[in-house]
Amino acid sequence: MLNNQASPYVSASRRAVDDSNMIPLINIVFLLLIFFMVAGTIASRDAAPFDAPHSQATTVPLLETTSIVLAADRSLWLDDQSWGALDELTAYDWRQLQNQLAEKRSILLKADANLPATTLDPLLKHLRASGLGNIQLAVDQTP
Amino acid sequence: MEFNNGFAPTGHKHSPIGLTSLIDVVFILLLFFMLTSTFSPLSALKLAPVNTGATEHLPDTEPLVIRVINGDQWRIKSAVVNYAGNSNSHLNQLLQQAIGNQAAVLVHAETTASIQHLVTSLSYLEKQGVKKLNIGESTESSNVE
Repeated sequence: MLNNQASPYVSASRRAVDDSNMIPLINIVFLLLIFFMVAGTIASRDAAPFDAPHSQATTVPLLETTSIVLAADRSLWLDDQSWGALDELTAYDWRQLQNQLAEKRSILLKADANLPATTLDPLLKHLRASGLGNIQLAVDQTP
Repeated sequence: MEFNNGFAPTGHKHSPIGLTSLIDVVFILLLFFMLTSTFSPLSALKLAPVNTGATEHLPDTEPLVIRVINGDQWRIKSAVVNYAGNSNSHLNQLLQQAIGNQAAVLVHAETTASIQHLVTSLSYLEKQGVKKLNIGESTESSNVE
């Protein structure tokens, strides 16, 4: 009711343009919104924490694909699916994993930087045996 | 120009757009994208998709075999080479020879090396211009050529 009562000291035209002060704010907010919509990607979080190895080399863009995580605790994850500890996988487990990977065309390998390089051996062996055409190793490029 | 729809009192001026509700919606969208977006620092190194080593595609050329000992040292033909320090002319010569012959470079990690050491080595080789890089199976530190 108060808003509807026109103040005798403020002209009607002045009240009509009050909202124009908000336009720069809206511009900035829209720019921020567009920035986050364009720059951001809605990606699922990694199933297990891992510390990506640092690299300064020329890299290729990440594939939007299936990822295998070899976490710091040596647990193996195919996307969100846990396969248990790497050292405890049986031949049957590897066959199952290989069968699942055979349907894929590419894979992103996320291995913890602090693990011994020997832990990659069985994984790379089975990844290659499954006939994957494209294997990428995730690295961190921040200085 | 006055417009009376029969409900609003005659003589009252309407705002052209209700900006407050628009801003509410935009702010909510902004908050949503700010909270759900993550700036991923990850990128990827591509590994060669071969089964039995880098020689598969290149039967005529002998690959340069490098064994990664740690973050600074490689073993090439049983000689320890420090690649991270000053430029090593012998190493440069070997690499240029491999690049010139279009030979692959096969990187093995010794048991002392971590995945970070392996990636550092791959990055170094890639920076030197080696195109055909591959990771071989790890070897024992004593198992050298």
